[in-house]
Amino acid sequence: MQHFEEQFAALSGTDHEPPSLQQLRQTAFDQFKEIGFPQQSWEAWRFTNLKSVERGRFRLAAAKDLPTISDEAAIGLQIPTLLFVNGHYQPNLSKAPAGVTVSTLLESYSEDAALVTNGYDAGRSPFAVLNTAMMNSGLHLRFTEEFSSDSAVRFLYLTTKLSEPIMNHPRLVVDLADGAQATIVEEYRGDGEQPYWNNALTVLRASTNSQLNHVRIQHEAASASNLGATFYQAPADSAIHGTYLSAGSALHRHDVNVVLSGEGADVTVNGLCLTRETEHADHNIIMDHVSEHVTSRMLFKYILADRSSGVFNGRAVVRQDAQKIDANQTNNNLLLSNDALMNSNPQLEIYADDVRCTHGSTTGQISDDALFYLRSRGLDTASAKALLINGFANEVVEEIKDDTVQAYARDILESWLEGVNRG
Amino acid sequence: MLEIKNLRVTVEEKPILKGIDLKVNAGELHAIMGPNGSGKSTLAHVIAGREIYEVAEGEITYNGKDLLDMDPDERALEGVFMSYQYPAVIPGVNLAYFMKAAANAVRKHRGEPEMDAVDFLSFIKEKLAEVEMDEAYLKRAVNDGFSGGEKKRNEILQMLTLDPSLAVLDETDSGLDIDAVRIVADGVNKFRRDDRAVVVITHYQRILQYMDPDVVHVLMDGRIIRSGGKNLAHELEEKGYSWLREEAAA
Repeated sequence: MQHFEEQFAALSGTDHEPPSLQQLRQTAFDQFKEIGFPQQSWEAWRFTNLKSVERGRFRLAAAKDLPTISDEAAIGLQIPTLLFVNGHYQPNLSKAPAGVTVSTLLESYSEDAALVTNGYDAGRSPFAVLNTAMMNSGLHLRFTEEFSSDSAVRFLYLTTKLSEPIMNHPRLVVDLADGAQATIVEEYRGDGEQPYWNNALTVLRASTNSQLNHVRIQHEAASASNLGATFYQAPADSAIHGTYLSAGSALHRHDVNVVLSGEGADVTVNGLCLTRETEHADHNIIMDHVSEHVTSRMLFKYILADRSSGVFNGRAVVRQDAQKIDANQTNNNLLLSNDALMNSNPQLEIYADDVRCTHGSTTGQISDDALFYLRSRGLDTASAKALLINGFANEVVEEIKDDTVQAYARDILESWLEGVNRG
Repeated sequence: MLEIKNLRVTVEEKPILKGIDLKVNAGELHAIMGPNGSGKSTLAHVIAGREIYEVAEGEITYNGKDLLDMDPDERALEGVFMSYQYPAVIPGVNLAYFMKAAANAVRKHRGEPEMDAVDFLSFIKEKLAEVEMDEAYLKRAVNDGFSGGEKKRNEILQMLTLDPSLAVLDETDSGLDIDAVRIVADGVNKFRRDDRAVVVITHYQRILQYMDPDVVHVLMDGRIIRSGGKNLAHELEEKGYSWLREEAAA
């Protein structure tokens, strides 16, 4: 904790921020100290060991961490992109389509603090609280009524060419105007051997009749830790479709909190989580049905290779007044190795009596029957396995609504599979 | 084309096939009949190369090559096809994608050019029509939610698409209504050629009414206890299998 106090003190040394923001940070940091790092005795953190982050002595990214970079770094997906490199926003290499207002967190905070601080409840999550205390990068995006592009907009958080272990606490806040339709890709990517830690917090506030497609892609370097939380607000008649694609980092933990607060809200949160070697990935999803007449679906699929491990905690909460809701929750896991380990815990917490809720979980290996069937049609073992794995993943990938982003997700899956096959 | 000599197969040390001899020439259609548990399906799976069946003794040659020495995919590429009694479900993989991958694997093996999506589509549409399957199946996951009849027609579709030399059809008629039996049998009849051989494994002679088998074998308790012409099938239909069992015991 002393290390974090030092880091926080260094951050507070700057005085370009309004006093109220400094106070907000201080309060949050005090809260973080009080809560402390999650212990495995805590129910929500039982299967995830955070010692590597706690003891990693990561320092906050500084100006000297910014490498020379050409816009080639952003290549991989040709869509309007807002680029961060090692925690530093690169406005010259970024562009947003017409109708999207891009502000720094400080700009929006100065306009109205609520723009940065509303729409989520950090609760007792030490990392969400720490993000408030230390948020050092990020953006506020407003999709206005004028926005009408079909193209996805990407927030790309790149970590590369590090010489020391750094940490960043990025925050992305997105507002959708009434009736707006937007696809947002939030991508965390990195390379190199140097350990680093990203502790991200994302707030996505949909409006009435708006339609939000959100794809969060995490393919950080194998040396990285990627922790974070996403908060969705789904008011009346809003539609949210979220996809979580995770294919990297030694340690990954992501919390998703959805509040369905108005009638007619419809939310899907899907995930495809790929782990290999000794990687560990943990998703904790809370789908909170507050209003009556809402629908939600949750489909998470893990593919675990080598000695990797995964955790899925999905909880559908149905409040007392949330009658006539329809909630579905599924977790399917495919183990590619005898040494891989999966902990799956789908839960329902229902206080209303006239609802339709289903949940289910399966964990298994590639079916021998299916593998033999494909081989007996002439496919070699590697091709047959790849076909079966792709088929397993497909249910999540094919639901990504934007074709360009879907193709990108398929590429990531394919290169992950190649990596697993190479061993 | 196919020659089996003294084939003995065990599953978990339990003998299932106890010395099978069978010779199938190009152009011929053989029917192998027998009651449940006689070893019919085991024979089909051993020809296809399923590893859980252990060949304790004997040999299988296919076009002069040692079939038992080949991996299942190698056998398929060399032209051995098996139609399954219970085809596996492949969730998330649509039929078009799967069939294109399989058809191109065979073409590549033969040194023929692979088909692109457009060529493949017109090719597979022709085959679909032959087994009276709608084009909508191409977008469905392989066997996922297919009825028994749809699965069997899909097997015949694959046979026609992959152009094998030897087709072994395991209980392809089981669970089919009379129309489906006719469609499946028609598919097999279209497939027949002087340079191809077919082995139809069945409990009932019903499907054989639509075919013209050259030889009918009766497999019982892991052995072929009788071989004969088409009439043997009719005889079995009338008398059941018990008279043969009694004869064999005597």
